[in-house]
Amino acid sequence: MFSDADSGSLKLDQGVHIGDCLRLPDQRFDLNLVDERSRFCLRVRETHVSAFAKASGLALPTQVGTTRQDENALIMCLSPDEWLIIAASESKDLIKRKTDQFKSAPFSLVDVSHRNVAFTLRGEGAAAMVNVGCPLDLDLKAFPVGKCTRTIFERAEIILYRPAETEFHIEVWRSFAPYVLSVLSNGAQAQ
Amino acid sequence: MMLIECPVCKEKRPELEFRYAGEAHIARPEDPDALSDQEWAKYLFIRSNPRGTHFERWVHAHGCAKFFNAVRDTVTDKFVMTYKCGEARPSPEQIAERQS
Amino acid sequence: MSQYRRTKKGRVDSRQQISFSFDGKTYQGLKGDTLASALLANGVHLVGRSFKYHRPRGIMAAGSDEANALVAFDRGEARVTPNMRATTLELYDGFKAQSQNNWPSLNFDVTAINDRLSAFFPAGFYNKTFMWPKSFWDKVYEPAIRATAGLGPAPKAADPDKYDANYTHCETLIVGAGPAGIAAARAAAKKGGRVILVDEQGELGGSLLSAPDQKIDGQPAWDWLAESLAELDAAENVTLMPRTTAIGYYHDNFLGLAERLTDHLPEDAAEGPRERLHRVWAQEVILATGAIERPLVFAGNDRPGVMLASAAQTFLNRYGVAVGEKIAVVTGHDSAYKAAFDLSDADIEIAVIVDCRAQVDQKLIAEAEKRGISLRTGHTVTATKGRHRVKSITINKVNGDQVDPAGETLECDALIMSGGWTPSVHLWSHSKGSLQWRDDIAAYVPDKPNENAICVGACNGDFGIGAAMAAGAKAAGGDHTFDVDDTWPWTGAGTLEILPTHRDESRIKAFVDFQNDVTAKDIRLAVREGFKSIEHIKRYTTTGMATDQGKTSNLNGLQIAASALGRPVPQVGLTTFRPPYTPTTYGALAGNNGGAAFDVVRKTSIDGWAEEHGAVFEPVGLWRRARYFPRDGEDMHQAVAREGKATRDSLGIFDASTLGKIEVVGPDAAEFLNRMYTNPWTKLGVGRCRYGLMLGEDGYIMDDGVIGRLADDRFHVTTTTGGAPRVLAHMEDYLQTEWPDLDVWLTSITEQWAVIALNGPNARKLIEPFVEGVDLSSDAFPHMAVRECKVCGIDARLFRVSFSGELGFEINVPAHYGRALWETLYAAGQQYDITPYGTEVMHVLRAEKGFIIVGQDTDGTVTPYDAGMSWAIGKKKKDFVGKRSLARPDIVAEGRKQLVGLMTKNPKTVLEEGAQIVMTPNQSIPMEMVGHVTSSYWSETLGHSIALALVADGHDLKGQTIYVPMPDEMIEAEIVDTIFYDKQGEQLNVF
Repeated sequence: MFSDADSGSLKLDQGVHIGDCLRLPDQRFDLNLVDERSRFCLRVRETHVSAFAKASGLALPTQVGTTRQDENALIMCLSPDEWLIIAASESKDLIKRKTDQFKSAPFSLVDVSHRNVAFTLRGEGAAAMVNVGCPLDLDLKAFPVGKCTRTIFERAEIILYRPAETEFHIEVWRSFAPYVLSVLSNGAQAQ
Repeated sequence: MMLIECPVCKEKRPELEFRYAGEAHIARPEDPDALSDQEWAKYLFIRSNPRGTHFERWVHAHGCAKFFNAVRDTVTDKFVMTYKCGEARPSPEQIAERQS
Repeated sequence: MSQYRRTKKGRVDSRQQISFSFDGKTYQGLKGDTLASALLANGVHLVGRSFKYHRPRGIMAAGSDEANALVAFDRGEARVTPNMRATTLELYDGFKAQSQNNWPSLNFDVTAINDRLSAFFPAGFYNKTFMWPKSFWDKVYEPAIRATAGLGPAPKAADPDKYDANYTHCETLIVGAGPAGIAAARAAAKKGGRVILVDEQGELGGSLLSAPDQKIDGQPAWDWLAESLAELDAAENVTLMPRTTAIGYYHDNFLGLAERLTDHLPEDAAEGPRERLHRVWAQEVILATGAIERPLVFAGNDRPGVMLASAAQTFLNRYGVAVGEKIAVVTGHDSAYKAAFDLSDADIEIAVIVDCRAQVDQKLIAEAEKRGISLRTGHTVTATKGRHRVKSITINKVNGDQVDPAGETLECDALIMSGGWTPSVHLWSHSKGSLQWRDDIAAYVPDKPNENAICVGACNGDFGIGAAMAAGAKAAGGDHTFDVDDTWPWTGAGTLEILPTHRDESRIKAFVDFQNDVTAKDIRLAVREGFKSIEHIKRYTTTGMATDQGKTSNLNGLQIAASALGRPVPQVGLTTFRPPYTPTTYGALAGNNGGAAFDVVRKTSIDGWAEEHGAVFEPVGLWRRARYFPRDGEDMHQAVAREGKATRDSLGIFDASTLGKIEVVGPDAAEFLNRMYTNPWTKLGVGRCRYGLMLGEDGYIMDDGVIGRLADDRFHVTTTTGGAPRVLAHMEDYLQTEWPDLDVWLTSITEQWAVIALNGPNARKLIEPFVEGVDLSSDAFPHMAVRECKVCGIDARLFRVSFSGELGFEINVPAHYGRALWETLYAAGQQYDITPYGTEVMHVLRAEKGFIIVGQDTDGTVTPYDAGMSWAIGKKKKDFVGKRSLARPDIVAEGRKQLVGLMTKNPKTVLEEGAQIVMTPNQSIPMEMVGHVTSSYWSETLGHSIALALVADGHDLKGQTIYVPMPDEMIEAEIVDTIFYDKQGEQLNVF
């Protein structure tokens, strides 16, 4: 519902401006800001997960650190009872409607669409760029395609997701985004 | 930098993702009003501070966000084992086995 | 080519001359030289002055163990790096460096008078000399010490260089690319997994670079080295890192590797970052860090031209430089013979080999004889002469315990020495691996590991190359053995501490720590004065505390101390090695955290507007918040007076986005809040709000905020700006670990919502046209109400709350729309003279109403009773966090500090926050302090200053006069109620 068309005169501003240094000409990596998305924090007790998935039609991954992507949304399992649902900005009501189908036990769905901004880092050098500030081992054996996790990037908390071998998706709280970009930008200049 | 195995995520992660949360296995009394001032003070303030095996609470703050318990040796600074909240305190035998 | 260059020797390229400057004078060197080797090739030995006595000093080592030759490496004004070792600086065309610690020049240093006055600079001299009178410290002693002491100066301009840092993971990390390290790397490469091989030097090879005669598996060492490195370089799983120092070894096989990327390049060729800090986790660590040769301790052992035997050997074999033309040798270890023979074989005259041992290996005697070298076993060196370079030495015969006073003086232009070898266990010790003493080599070697680490080769006390290489290979899972001829004798050093002498030991300077100018006599004096622990002796004498951390001095100092204490070395202990292994730049440690990345500065979505409108900001936690918006020429006082008045008179707009927000969802949400807050929540209606007060379990106020009920099972909780993460963690803690049965979940929504607060009589009129679906009349939407609605077509949460005492609304909209909504409201508000205000006015307006700021009016020892907020406690609740503590004896006792208002007698006087309060003005000092001012402002609304204060039993003292003593006056004030403005709250309902 929060697309520009619906917002009347109000302009959407994610508050992030990506400098030129984050697009290296040799294509080792390319950083882009992800457009506005619908995001939900979903909390369901472990014992109700399968019932919830069945009722809502939302395929919840059940292993911490795994993701599911279908036509509706990208769903990351961040904790045994916590999921981040990312969908198109106009899919907000759709997600709400689907989760409302689950009535047999309590759960929590909270709109956090604007809490985060997201970047994608693509290219051969993407993993090295993430490792500028993220301490995790990004070798494919340790961090395979499809893996997601909450972790840190220097002094900011991020959610890191690897959609493809040379692509990373970083979610960060809005006010920490300029800091993460600054570190990435310094790191990019140092490559 | 220490690597801590989160018993919830089942992954070893750098200590940067974690926060210490005090001594473990000190349950909040069911009925605080039933406690004498001395008993309440003991619950509030008195901690064991041992040399050697220490039962600790940690939270995987920048990971799965779950609290868990750990056995750590305060002499070597090493984590002996971690386990989920609600699980029983490991026995001296279990701890010794992990340490060997 | 100078007389000291041996062009047939060494790995330097004699076809590539390069020009460099030292102390402004231009010299020629060769590609592959270090500053040290190039200076020596030019016959320059004097390169610096010592720290305390300003004695002339030369080059004593060939690697990072150098303690004397510290220079300022000059890459331009902002890039001067002081205290760099000449032995590790790689030369390039246009290289520049300066000597340091001398004035006015290296050859003539005025402060060298310290050397003559050295009787006045004994161990512990700072502690002893500058004691009295106390008043002299600041004005006389400290400035004098600072002016004369210290090493090189730091650059004054900002560092223009970039630095980088990353995290790296590998299966095998090998530190040290000598024969053992390379053998390990080759085995590890075959095993698979990621392998990193680091070495602090520009060229990989370690001791092999100084041993061209060595044969490995039938190949000359340098051929074997080239082949091995090519093989490793081609292996996909191996990363070779020259110029990379493993600076520290921490828990769980985590190491810091500082890689120097550009310092060896001419300035115009230096691109990219200067250094990169690799923060590495390794599954296994193989330490092949080698050993460091020990100097001998004797009178005049610090003279330029006196150096380690292995250094002279390295300068010859690796750099093609003769460190003298007539070289004397003094040793207690076999290894110096090999150095002497290499020099002799390069047609350098060996004046004498002095061995303090009576017996040496027959092979060594035979080899010396073959070369016609005079060998004097059972002898000692008792003096050296030569002002800026050694010219002669005096040697004396040793008969048992006696030294024959009849000495013999021999001319030489260099003296090379060996006191044995010290395994480099620094990193092993960082990792808390234990050590054991080995008498046969008079050194500590690794014992039990504390991490998944192994020491191989010389750092493990195994000095034979073949054995070291086999150990390296084995450590990495290989089984290769190497055909190496290393049958040279390798014994000596025993428990040598100081060379025997007939001279009065209190009158000679036999240096132990060259960089900190500590002599053997200083250590003995410390022991005589009662110091018994090596840790204390170290600190008292400063031995081992220089920038080299005692690489060459620790064991000599330890042995001298042990001997003076009459105890074996292992009983005296060893001081602790700490990171970094060698000095590390701040730039490397800062990595990518320069400029805007220095720290997190959280900005709201409206921050940009505030910046464009001239806001002055203040930090609040990690956030920066607009403090006030000065108009042309206004100071803070004027701006705050204007913003506050405009808000009370008409309409103020305030960015409250930083407030912490937590969405509490679930059927047990109200019950959970009942337990976390003092107030009752069960009966709070949907659409209504209540002020919530949170205590710690100790009963003290921890946080507060307004909580709105959006649905039966959904609350919108607000917290203080700085308390947001702490409150959420506190709630999660109780929820997860005490009450996991509650069906309730917590989600941080601080950043989801931008919050625009509108306060003032015209607030409703402004927002009414923009709000859809809410009847804003006071009956339908009273004070402390909340609705989900649309504002400007956007989903919003609208609160009717007030932290100012005026009619107030807080509009929450999704953060990316915050600025757009602010601009819309600001434009529409012009008809009401809408005034943006900052945190300063927010503070003043709330103080006028007596609202507390947690953390300002409370300090972690204030209970709800103390704060006068008993009304916030749900009396019927059986339990909540902190409740039991409110009945603790000291919480209910009399005499607690309680929150009150203060009105100064002189309305214009604004008290200082933090000022102490006394009951009577004419007490003698120290006065009895009964409390302090917590908040204090000028209230433009009241035309009077106001303050809040914590005063002992203050609630019973209303109307009493108290006093605030200040340096120049005694301020009189009256204790009053905490609410200064609109006590009835009528302004909340103004239309």
